[in-house]
Amino acid sequence: MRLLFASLVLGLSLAMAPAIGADAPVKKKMVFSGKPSMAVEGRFHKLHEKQEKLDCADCHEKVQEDILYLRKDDRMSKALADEGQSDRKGCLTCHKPGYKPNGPHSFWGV
Amino acid sequence: MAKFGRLIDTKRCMGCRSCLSACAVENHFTPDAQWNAMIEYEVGTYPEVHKIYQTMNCMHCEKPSCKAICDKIGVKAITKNEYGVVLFDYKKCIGCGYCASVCPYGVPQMNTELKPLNPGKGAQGMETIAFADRHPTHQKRAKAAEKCTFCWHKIEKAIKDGKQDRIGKDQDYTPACDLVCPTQARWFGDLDDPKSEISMRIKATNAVQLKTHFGNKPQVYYTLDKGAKS
Repeated sequence: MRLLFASLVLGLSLAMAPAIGADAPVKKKMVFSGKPSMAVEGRFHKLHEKQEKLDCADCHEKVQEDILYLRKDDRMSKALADEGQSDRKGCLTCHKPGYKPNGPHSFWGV
Repeated sequence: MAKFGRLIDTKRCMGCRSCLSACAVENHFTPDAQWNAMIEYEVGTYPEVHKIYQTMNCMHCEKPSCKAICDKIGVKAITKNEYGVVLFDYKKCIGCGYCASVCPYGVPQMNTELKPLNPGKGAQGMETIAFADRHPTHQKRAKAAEKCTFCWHKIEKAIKDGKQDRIGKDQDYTPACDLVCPTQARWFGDLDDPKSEISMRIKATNAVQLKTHFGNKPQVYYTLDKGAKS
């Protein structure tokens, strides 16, 4: 009887484990795979879109033109130029010295 | 050890673009990949309106974000040497464009194809030198990032010749853009030497660095005219 009860408790615990695990906070895993690329489907955009949940508009539309910018048209590609120049000030939300939201990727002024 | 820097006086600049032309000839930059650009804009309200001419080139930051990201992805094509000059190694560059995306000044240029300086008019300036004989900063490659080098080929020559004290003064040892300015709006020299002309001028004219909130600590200073942006 005791053996049966112990087996029942163990079985229930094992069955509930994934459900409990699902509620626990999941640590974000950085997606650093693939060749570095600024292409729309490349690593840079994939990271910011999938990892940081940023939309195109977050960087390319909510922008005030920065006149003190040498690469005036920001022509990394024609598509990007059409999207509009991205505002580097926005990058500082995460990439500021000493701030490491998901690891050591604070490269501004490092 | 010297730390080289530049002072650009927007009060004196008249927007002639001699600095741009000199850089284009000296370093063979093409319109698709400008190493030096003239930014011009109007400030003030009528009737007190005037124009600001503010040239932009590499700031050779003390903390270059281009180098930080290039190192982080393991490419390590960007170096900052003991004289404070930030240089790109075209052979190591993989053309990812990360440096261009992180520079707050929009400096790194992605040169998609190497074009002649003056199409249809034969080789000019640096183009007359065989590729292998050119200075490494002039051995450009398509699909690689490039930018202003503070005319490192000239500074390096000054160091080799033992003429470091002539940098910013002699034609052979001074960046082309600073050399040709007809209004003396550009100064180049050692920022670490408080008695150098550039250091004294920075102090005397209350010159400032641009976009200091990014924390890159640029080594190019600007004497700002009334209304000029920083």
